[in-house]
Amino acid sequence: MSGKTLSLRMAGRLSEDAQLKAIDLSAVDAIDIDLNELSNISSQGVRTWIQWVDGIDRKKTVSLVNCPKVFVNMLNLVHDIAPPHVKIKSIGVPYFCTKCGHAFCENLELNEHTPKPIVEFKPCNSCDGTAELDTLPEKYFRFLKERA
Amino acid sequence: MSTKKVRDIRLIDALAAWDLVDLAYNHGLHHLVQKAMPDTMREIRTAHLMNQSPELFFQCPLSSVLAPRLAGPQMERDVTLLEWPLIKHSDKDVILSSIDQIFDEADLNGSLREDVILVADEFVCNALFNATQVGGINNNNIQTAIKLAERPMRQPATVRMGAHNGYLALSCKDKYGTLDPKRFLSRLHSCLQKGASQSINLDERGTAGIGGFMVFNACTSLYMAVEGGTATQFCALFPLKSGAKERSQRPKNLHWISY
Repeated sequence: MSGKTLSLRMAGRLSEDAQLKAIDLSAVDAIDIDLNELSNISSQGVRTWIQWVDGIDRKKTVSLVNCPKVFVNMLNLVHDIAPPHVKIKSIGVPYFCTKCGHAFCENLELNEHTPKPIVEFKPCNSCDGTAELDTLPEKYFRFLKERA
Repeated sequence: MSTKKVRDIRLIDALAAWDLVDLAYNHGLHHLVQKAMPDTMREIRTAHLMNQSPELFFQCPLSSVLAPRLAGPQMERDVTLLEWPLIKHSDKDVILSSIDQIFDEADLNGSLREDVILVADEFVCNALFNATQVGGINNNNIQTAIKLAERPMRQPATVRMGAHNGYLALSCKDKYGTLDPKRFLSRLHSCLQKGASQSINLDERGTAGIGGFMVFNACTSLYMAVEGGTATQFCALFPLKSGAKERSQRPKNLHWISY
């Protein structure tokens, strides 16, 4: 089954009732996990996730795409949710419009060789205001330094 | 009531989270209020209220933290957006979905939604799994614990969310009073000192042990009251108008009483 990739999409809340160990990974070489629709991670969800990721055979490639703000925030609090063998391909970068209060995320591809500059301001996609980066870059992107 | 007690209220100056929790944990300080902030006086009034009328804090948590000068049943009704009894595990989804819906309908600050839901999830799980002591969740008994928590609680907990004067508050009261505040502070202290990765409980029996840290990290003020064997009340406060960046830069307040 060489070269077989399993694409997973996780949505909703990752909490105590997540049954990740029920996912059969025996016949795959690579796992791509799209986290775009993950809305919340609880402390028990963190534990369940860490145990699951840690139990995946190191010979398999694990990639995370579209990691939302909740995941990146958690990654900066609990580094083990993405151990070094797990590749983080893209993350959401949060913006907040101080005029209308609208919050949204822009996807950022993480290319280790050519990191893109972070855009501080963007047009709000809800009103005619300007949305600003809604995070401290040194905090939000700290996980990148720690993984380097 | 014989619960009135003079507890210290310490004004602190932009103290970082670890130093603040260290004062609470290692020096036993109960009310740590950041000075020179727009909400300093309100925080001091809430501290006085918790010291002098803890029963009022238990009965009217939202008004106690959002409008301490006016705290009482009428103000509690006025500021409450959501009140939900928590009886069993499946109520959690209903409560979290209701919070989500309020954010959709009430045009609340979108950047706050994830933090409020995170805190609500932790408060609810604490009431369901820890307060009742039906057996903390661990690696091996998670499904058993969820099944146990699906039985109606002997004493339902109450979750409330409210807003007033630019702040949103979330509270959860259980009627067990089993929380050990020193143990709670110890876990929080450990997470701040060593990092959550080093502090998370992966193997032993019990909870993950980082829920309090996640809550403290998400809110700007945390209030905790325990009447031993009777009730535990948590309350978390969030500024409504600020984005996540501004909230993360705000120095935090911490209050706890136990009797």
